[in-house]
Amino acid sequence: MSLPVLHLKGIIVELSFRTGEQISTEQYLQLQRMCNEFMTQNVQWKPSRFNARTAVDDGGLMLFNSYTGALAVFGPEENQQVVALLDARPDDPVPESSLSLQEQLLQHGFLVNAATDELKQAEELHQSVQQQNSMHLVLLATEACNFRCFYCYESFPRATMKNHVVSGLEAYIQQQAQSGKLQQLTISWHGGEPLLAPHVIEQLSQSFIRSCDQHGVLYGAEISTNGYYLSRERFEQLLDWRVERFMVTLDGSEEVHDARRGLHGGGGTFRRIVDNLLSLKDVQRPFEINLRVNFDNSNLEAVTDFIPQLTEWFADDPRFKVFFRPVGCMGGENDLNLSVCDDRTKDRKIWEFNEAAIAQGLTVSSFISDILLPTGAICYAAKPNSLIVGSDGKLYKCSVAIDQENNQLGQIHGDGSMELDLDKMALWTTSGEETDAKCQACFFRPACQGNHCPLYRMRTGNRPCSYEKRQIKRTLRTLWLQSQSEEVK
Amino acid sequence: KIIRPAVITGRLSSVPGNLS
Repeated sequence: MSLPVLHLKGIIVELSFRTGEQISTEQYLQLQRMCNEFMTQNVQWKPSRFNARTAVDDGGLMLFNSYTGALAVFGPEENQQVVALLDARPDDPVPESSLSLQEQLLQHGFLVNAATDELKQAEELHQSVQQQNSMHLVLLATEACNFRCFYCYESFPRATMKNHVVSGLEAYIQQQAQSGKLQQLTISWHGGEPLLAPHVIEQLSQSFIRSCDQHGVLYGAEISTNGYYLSRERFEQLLDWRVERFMVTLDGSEEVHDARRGLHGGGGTFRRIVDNLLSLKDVQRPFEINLRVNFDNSNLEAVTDFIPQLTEWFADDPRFKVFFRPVGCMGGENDLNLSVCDDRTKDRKIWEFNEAAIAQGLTVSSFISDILLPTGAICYAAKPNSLIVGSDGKLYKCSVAIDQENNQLGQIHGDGSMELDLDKMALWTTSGEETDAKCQACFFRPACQGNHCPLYRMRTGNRPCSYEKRQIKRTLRTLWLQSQSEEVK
Repeated sequence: KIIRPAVITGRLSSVPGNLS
């Protein structure tokens, strides 16, 4: 590397780290591109340790980098050149014909400067999770539910959010927005069944939006609902309250779904949920509804048979996406009776279902590619800027272990003040890659930081690798199939 | 073809196994 280039590179590195908060992503990427142009000609390079790759059906190659989040597909005619570039030694000469490919690989982080300390970069990314300019709150609008799903782990001890908790949250967010430090607020509406308490969602949403808009804070929300009360009117209200992403579960045909996800006190739920969902197709506004399908050994065939029905209803509207997840024993009262799949079956069926859905014209959930973003797979429980607020104002980190003593961190009061046990907080936020050498060396480290599920690590002592990481080649193939399908459409 | 170019925060996107 010649001295002027080294000097330029030094300036760019300094710019992006010292004043990182002041430059836009576009400016950052432009600087990175300039840097790469010089580097291509002047420095030695190596493949990033955070790459994953898989061959695809047409003889091409799919590449993923977990530090930059980049996903790229190379055609069969480029495959050999790309593999040669990735597998070359740092001092190997690059053929003239491969220079433009090399530049692309550098630009998206698949190749890096041979002098780059990628482990240091991963540590710096870990530090960025500690920043306090964004906040994520999971709000239990009510802890009651009108369903009694046979695999549910919740116990529904408390009902609608108390008035003093609502006023405390309004005050807390107003204070945070006013402080000037907060740049982004994300709310996850959860329960129980949150749409049993729409007045809570309305009051808090309007207050949060007012505070955020007044102080230039970016606001967005999502909701997990069983769909029973998701009428078109309610749905449009939620859109007005800036709820952008929805998750609604259907576990198979009417008979199968109703046996698994019936009403409290008995009664089917399938027909009403489907009627609600179909009525939303006429809404001429942007949104994303993730149709979650939970599977275990008892409904594997039913899910396969259900995909054509989902296709008939939703394949013509990509705002509806499918998301397949295995049922697990999470501490619910029915755990001993669950016919959960073994790990190999889970890993196989998730991707079989996704591939079948794409082949039939459905769109798979954006959650899959979200998990592959830098820090995208870290659980909210592991993030210092994230909290769950119960309907009685209790503060938690994890929504699956509400009754666990080290998950009960404190309380929010009516004036917006909070009592928070920081020692308990640290149990959840520092239990990942910090003490796990295998996680530190993993290609997926920038995405999950060993913290995809702190609860799973606490309870089992095992690494909580996400389903996407465990089957990264199948994951990449799914994303490739989806991109091929979109081209055809 | 770049599916997603080089480039964060929700809850909706799961416990990766049995807890009990």
